[in-house]
Amino acid sequence: MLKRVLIANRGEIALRIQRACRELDMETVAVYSQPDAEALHVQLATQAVCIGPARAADSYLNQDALLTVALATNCDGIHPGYGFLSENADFADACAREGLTFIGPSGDTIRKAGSKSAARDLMKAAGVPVTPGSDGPVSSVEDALAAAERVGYPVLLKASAGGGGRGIRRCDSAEALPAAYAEAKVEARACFGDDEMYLEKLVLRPRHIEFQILADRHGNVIHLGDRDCSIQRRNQKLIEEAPARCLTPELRARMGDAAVRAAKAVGYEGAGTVEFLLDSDGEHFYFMEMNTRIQVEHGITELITGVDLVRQQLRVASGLSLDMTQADVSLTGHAIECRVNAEDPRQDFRPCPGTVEFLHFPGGAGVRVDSHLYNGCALPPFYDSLAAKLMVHAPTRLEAIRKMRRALEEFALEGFPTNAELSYQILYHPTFVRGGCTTAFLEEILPRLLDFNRRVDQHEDTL
Amino acid sequence: MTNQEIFDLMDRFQRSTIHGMKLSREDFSIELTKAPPAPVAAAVSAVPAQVQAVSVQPEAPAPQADGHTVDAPLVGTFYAAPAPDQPPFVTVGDHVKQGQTVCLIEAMKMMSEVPAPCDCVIEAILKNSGELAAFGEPLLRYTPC
Repeated sequence: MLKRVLIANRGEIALRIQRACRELDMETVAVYSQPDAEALHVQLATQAVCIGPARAADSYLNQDALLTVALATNCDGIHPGYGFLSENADFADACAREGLTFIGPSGDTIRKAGSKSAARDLMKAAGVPVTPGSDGPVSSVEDALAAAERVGYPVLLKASAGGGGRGIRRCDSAEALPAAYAEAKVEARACFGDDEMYLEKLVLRPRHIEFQILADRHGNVIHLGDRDCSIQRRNQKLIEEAPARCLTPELRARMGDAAVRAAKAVGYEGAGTVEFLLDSDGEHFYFMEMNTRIQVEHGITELITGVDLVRQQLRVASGLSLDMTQADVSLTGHAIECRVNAEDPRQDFRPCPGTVEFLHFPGGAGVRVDSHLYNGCALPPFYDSLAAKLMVHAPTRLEAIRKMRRALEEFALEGFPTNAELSYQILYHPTFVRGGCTTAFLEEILPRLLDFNRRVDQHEDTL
Repeated sequence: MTNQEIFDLMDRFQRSTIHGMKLSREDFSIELTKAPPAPVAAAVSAVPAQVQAVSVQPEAPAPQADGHTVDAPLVGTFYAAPAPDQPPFVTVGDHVKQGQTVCLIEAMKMMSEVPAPCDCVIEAILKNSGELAAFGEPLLRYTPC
């Protein structure tokens, strides 16, 4: 087993990893930036070293600093957590070069899974369904029209070199396609210096369903069920649940098999996630991407499977084989997570860092809170705004919803605004209660919820 | 610090094996001392060691404990000399010019020279050669001149 692990992260995930290490009798070395000197992950580590100033590029993303500290403190492993360097193939390679175990897949696997086009080809070869499309670039409007006819409208025209939403056009009919094609091409040339285009079917009102994967170095790959992360705003997840209510056992088995094939196709090791889009027909699913790290929402899978995912990561990285088979995995009850972020929904979700003046976490049976906050601590403005993850576990989905409402009622944080109240409202929304939310849900209901809140505020002001 | 906290501290101090302590906060400082350890035979006597002095000085200015220091510009291994068999860049009492190298920090086999921020006299070298220096950790203390 690994003896001493450098945790190349901060916040609640650094704590989460520390706890797993502690339970496995591994020592931990925390790293921190100057504004994080008082952070909880610094205080609870066996040893902590300041690696740089506030800017992430100079601290938590500073590979030389992290490797220097890992070597100087005689660590044998580095856990990257999520975000920061967790999906950086070059960092994984650099760790290997220095004789340090990167707790995650190899650099090559990260590269394979991370490249959108390469991953798509690999998945097709492995028999994992991908969104229907042009299969390679379209060289003319005629080509694009033919491909669109084949996959059916609406379609997305995308720049091969694209990213960040540039060089993308949605088109709903053959009449609209030539103009969209020309526009996207011009934009792609301007943004990326390359106007090669391809075409993909646009899946309307899909659900975001993901499968948790565990793989060891000896070729064993299993999945630990699914999560529904459809409640998101601008690709930021807000509420996640496990298992997804919309999957029949038959569809779950098919998707789980596809996820395991996807992981095998890239030679996966450790904990990872395969994300799918589930069509609104509830029948067709398409590979979206693979995340080669532990995810924020891993806790709800732990609640329904009883498997400690970070512990499994540490075991796999130590060279052990999985201590369970697919047949040992059973999903018990229902779990929900609400992410509490330091942001103000009333002001377009502006991040609101600040100092915690008063903090009280919910408790009781079936409630889990992962957070790095404590009374009096600061949530610095330099990093992400996640303040706490509230998780509940109950025998049924309805009981889990009720428990989460209760947990949010108990939760108290003074010092800066959070989105906790918004989550509370969603937990009462009929579409959510029925389990009918797609990725379009939150954006659609937001104006009404925010307007409702505004009127409540005004009413309270007049009292 | 509240009075209760001071009383608690006195109790704790009296029970401890240390003979003196001094605590400085922003707005006050407190110093506790007690008689040197009695012979073992006397230690069982019922008379507790005397807390001799408690001095509370409100609104005392915070002492400039560190003065001027050269801090590590990056995390890495501190070296006082260019090579193990060579003399150190500076020793205590040396006058150095602004920009003169005073030590090295090694990170991933890259040596970074740390320059003196101004003309100064070296007062103390705070790290041992070969030790890990954290980002921003004081390496040398100096007096500008």
